[in-house]
Amino acid sequence: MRTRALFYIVFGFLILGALLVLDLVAHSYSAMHGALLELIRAGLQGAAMLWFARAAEVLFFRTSSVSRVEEVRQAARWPIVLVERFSIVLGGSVLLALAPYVFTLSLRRVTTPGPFKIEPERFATVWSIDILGFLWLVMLVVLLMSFWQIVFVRQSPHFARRRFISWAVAAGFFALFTLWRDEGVIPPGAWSGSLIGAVALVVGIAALLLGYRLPWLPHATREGKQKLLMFAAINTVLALAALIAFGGDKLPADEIFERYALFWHSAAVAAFGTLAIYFALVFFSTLFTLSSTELVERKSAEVQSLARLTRFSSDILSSELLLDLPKLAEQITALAAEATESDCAWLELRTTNSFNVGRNNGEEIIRSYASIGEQAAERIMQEAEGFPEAGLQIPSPRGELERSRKPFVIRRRISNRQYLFPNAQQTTENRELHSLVAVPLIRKDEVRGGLYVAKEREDAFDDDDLTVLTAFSDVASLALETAKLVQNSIEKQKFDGELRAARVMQKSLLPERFPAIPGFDIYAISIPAYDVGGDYYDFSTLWDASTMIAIGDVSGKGISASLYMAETKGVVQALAPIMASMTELLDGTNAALLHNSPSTASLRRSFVTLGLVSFGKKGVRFVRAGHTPLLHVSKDGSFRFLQPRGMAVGLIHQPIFTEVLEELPVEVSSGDVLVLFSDGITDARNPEGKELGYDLLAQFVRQNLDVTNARDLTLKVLSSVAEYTQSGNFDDDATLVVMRCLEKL
Amino acid sequence: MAQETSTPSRFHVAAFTRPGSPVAVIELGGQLDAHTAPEFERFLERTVRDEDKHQLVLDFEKLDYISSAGLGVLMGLIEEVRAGGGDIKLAKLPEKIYHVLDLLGFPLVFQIFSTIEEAESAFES
Repeated sequence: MRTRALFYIVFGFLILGALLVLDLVAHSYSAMHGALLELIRAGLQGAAMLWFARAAEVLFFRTSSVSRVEEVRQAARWPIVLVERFSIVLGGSVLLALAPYVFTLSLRRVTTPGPFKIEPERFATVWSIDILGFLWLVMLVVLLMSFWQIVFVRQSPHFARRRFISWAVAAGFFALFTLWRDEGVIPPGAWSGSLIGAVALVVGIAALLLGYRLPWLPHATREGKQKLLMFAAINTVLALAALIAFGGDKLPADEIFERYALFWHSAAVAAFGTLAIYFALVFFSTLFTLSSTELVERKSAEVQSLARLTRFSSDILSSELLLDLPKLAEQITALAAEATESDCAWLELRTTNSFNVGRNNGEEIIRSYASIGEQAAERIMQEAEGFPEAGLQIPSPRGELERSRKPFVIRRRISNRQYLFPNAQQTTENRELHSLVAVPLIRKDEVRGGLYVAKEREDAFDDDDLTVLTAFSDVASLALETAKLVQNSIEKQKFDGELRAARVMQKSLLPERFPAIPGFDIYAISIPAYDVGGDYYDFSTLWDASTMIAIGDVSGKGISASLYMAETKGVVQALAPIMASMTELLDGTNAALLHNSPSTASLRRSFVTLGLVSFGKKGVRFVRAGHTPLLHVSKDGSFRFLQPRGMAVGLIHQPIFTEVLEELPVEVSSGDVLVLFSDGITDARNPEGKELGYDLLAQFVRQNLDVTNARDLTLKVLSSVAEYTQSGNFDDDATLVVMRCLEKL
Repeated sequence: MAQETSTPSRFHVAAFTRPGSPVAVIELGGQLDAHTAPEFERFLERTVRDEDKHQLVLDFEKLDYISSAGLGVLMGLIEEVRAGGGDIKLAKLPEKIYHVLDLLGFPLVFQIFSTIEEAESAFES
């Protein structure tokens, strides 16, 4: 890059050298004079200028093109910066024009007393003129290239180039005609004067056209425009000064320049004239658009927010925001407020939760508030009488959205009600909101909610705010809906996996059918607190053909408990038909479980409590291995808890276990109810943390003694327990086995 | 000396040993359930194995709740402690907890005392 620029510069100097040689030859032989010589000189100078221009482009403009892209981002500022910089270039031109004058003054003072005399015959004069002229040419290059930058900012390149070229052609003709007239090619006279005047007019019109449309001007900020006014005025004055310096008849600069190259002299005159016209135009355009600045500033803020929104929406589709619904809603609300420069904003969106269909028909409402409290927002959305002047027959803003399905603006509110909502500093203060924009959030042809922004000022919104917000709301509701779907699917996946495992476990452990016991109606239910439970109930037939109901509770929770429970169930099932009594059965079970259990202490911390009730020839009998007692509620409402002695299974070895085990006969009459339960029932807590306890369970059964069906009775008791907890959640597995002694007919 | 560990506000366990006494008094507090049982187990194992204490008195006074998982920890360690010539004795059981232990038949396996001193002196005899 650099070497190429160096090559261009060297080439430019070579051409300039050729010019000097030409001047040397022309001077020595006085062979060539007049228009032809001038044109050849102009051509050589032009060629040198071209190469210098290319070097300048490579060095300054092409390398800076990267930063230019950056600067174009700050679109409003860039042209102003250019105009500012141009003042320096113009200032330099004026200084350069004055240089010969200063030069002569100093010469006069230091050396010869007479004024600086230009003697064309002297070779040194010609050369010094060449060098000065060359400097001016470089200046002209810089001038035109900088100008080129300004003219091209935010213009369609095609259009701008055409106008720039037509201007350059007009200026070229102006320079050529002036040259021809001065050299006598065109005889001086009235018509040649009017010809040059006409061409000058064309140059002026072309200059006006160059500055006719200033597309960047409306985007300037107020501050930018103030700067622009100042620098446009400075540039106009400087361009006029340069025009006089070069174009006037009295100044030595003009004399030197004219001698140097008449063609370029005229071109410079045309250029400075154009610049003066251009910047005057900029000045007045700025002056006239000053009043509309605020509007433009707001528009550009809106455009920026829209751009941010677009980027935001493409971002979120791949980001973790989709996994964080509340945060997503928060960001959307904040952006809505920002995009419309509102004092506050809020949104609500009903979403479908296909997973959790139990609550509110599976509907869930996402709400988010920016700079306003939930209550205040809710009041505004519901308020019907607040907007009589809006000319809307609206039940409330929320209702209006549902009805019209279209965005609307409320420009003025009659209500003087004050709303308490936190400002940016998180302190609460009373403010009144007078303007409101409401935009429906629509999915699948249904209004699912709304996006609201509000301002304290009256008449603070216009139709453009509606447009911005509508675009906004489409993206917002799509993003929120997507996030909700993602959330649902994650929940569902998780739930499905756990549920499958739990169901398989439960299925394999709990009997699907209840045994037919003469004179009794049996029902049982077990609700695991977690995915897999440690409670179980089962039915078996004993050696003596009596039917046995077992309830069990394995210590611990989760998978390991349920595995232990499965083992227990298997042992009981296997031993039941070969054991003579329930006591023996428990003995055997205890031995088997102790034998099977690993010897390492840390692994063997599970034990099982079992409660067995048998129905046979010996009547109803109950044995208890550490389990909760049997509840016996008589038909008359009296109740008792039967708690025979017995240790939990898996705790201790044979002799002690067997010794303490006690089997009790249960005297049951028709209409009585026997209930086996796990401690998950009696340990159920209400919101105050108080446990249900035995007595309350007995009460629940008593209250439902009139329910003759065991299944309904079980469910009623269970729902009473659930009601007691209020949340319906059990901390522990809860199991109920209800045995109802049928009325004898 | 005292070692201590706790789960904020839920479960609390700390051991105290009187100088010259081989008996470690372990104070329990809060909720001993399936979530806190592993912590209790680690604590007991440390006391028994690392510190070689085999005479343990568990002070239940400040314990609000014990689940089967917590009791499982006791059962898991009792044989190891007894094999080492020691024992685990329970003291100051709140009524509710005594009820749970009674249901399970724990009084047939563990000696239960109403004061720490009684439990401690039971080791001497």
